[in-house]
Amino acid sequence: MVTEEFARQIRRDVVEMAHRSGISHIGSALSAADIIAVLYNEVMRICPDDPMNSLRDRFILSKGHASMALYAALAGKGYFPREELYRQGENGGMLSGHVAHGVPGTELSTGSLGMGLSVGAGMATAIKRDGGRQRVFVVLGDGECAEGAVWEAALFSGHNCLSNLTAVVDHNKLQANDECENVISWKNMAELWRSCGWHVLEVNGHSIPALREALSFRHGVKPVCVVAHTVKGKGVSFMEGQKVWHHLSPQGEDYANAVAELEAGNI
Amino acid sequence: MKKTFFQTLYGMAGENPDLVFIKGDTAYIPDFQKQYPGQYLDVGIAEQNMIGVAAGMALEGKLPVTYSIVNFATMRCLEQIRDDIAYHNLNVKIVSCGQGLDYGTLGATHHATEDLAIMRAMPNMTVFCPCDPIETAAVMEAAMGLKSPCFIRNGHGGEKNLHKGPVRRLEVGKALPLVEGSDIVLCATGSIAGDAYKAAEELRGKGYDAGLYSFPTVKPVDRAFLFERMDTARLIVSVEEHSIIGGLGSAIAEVMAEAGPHKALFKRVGIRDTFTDEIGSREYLKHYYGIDAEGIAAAVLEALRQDKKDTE
Repeated sequence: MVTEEFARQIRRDVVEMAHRSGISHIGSALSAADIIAVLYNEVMRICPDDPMNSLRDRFILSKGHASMALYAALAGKGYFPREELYRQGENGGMLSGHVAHGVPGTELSTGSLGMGLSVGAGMATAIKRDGGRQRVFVVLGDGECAEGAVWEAALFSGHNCLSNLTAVVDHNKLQANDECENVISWKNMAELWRSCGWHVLEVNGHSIPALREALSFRHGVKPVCVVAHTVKGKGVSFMEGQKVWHHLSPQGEDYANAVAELEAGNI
Repeated sequence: MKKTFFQTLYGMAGENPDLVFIKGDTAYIPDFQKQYPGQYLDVGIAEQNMIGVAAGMALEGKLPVTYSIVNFATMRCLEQIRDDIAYHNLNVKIVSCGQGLDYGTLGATHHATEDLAIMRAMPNMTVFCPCDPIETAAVMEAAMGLKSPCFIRNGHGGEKNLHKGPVRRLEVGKALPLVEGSDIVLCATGSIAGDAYKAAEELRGKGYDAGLYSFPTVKPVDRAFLFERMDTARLIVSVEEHSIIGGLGSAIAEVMAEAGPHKALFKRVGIRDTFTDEIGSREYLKHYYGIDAEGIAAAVLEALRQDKKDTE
């Protein structure tokens, strides 16, 4: 499957999951869909039949509330049956609203923001000390970057030259309650990471070729931060850039329109 | 205890190449760094990252031992301990330094008075608080035998041994006798057991049959010991350099309260729900807050007086 199609499939599943479960954060999942699609379809070494194979590349979704996008990608790659997606949040079920370990293909439970990068840095440190070639990817939100722990991890990773670590900032400029600009503005997002010792690439976070190039890139010495400029709710026109879709799940006409848009494939 | 901890760690690092010592700009140990550079990591003053990095390394099969002063080792990074370490049940040993009022003159920010309560509430976590250097070595060995998260609360240094000889194999969750006695049973955790020891001696001098038992494991607490003693003793007293809320005293109270009718009365000795902002040395502060030998003995005698009054 070409990555554009894989990303569209993820979005279609995300809409279906949010519709059925009533769980929110659809905007965040749609924002990260292309990043996750490129990683799982092209860049990362994955082993769906043997999820914990030590040669796999590691992936942490630090913005754990975008779990629907990750779970859709994992089911799409065959880590677990697709039917599980549509039972997210069901009593006694397998998938919760935030990423949880124990689900085949997940490395780390996340949900409390700002904590994923440190764990990724620990993995990268261990792998590097053992001479391994596996890469570690961590996806963060821009609102999440207000957590101080992100910068503890950023400084640590830069100082220790964790060149096997890539952080992706899903920079959609919108957080739960407001535009980032009105809460904590990120005019210098790239510069902040650069000053912590990272090699920074800024890309259109919905351009598959641009993401492919950035996520495949490895710096010889420094960890790489991909600042991916994205649109929250991307792929469903009436959700794009609308903060209400951080909390809502599509029902009725909204659901029908979202499905129609995605099935028409005009993203 | 601190010296014993590092000596023990040194030996363990040599035996286990997966052991990684991760510190947050605490503990200057250039010899360790020189001998085991691949097993040493200083993350700087960044405890949240310290725990996250430890979790990542544990997920990759390493055996991280994190280290800082008690409050920084636990509270600053509490959610990382909860979500990354405890929730994932990772084999990380969270070692800390400075029991209770150990840091005396440095002030209340450095006094550890809630850590046992907080760490005890954490699922999957085993909580250790050794009373002397002998127990520190035994606790380290016991903790390494567990493949799950452990919190170890060591003293800052200079503690005298209370055990007469080495503790050969410390059983997790078992109390150890320091002074045998059956009528008044003092249950202490940490080096405050030294004060409880003096209190037991004083009580014995007054003709009371007082015993002292060390609880190097605060969680799980020794239920079997308590079940046995609550039917035979007249008074059980918990002694800890910690708030009376949530620590050893609470652990014992929980067991006794649910145990049904029993003979023994129960009394908690500890810091009484206050910040320890009085200024002074550890010895001065222990006295001020009523947890030194004198305070412990007085609490015991008061409980006995109260008991007598109630029965009259």
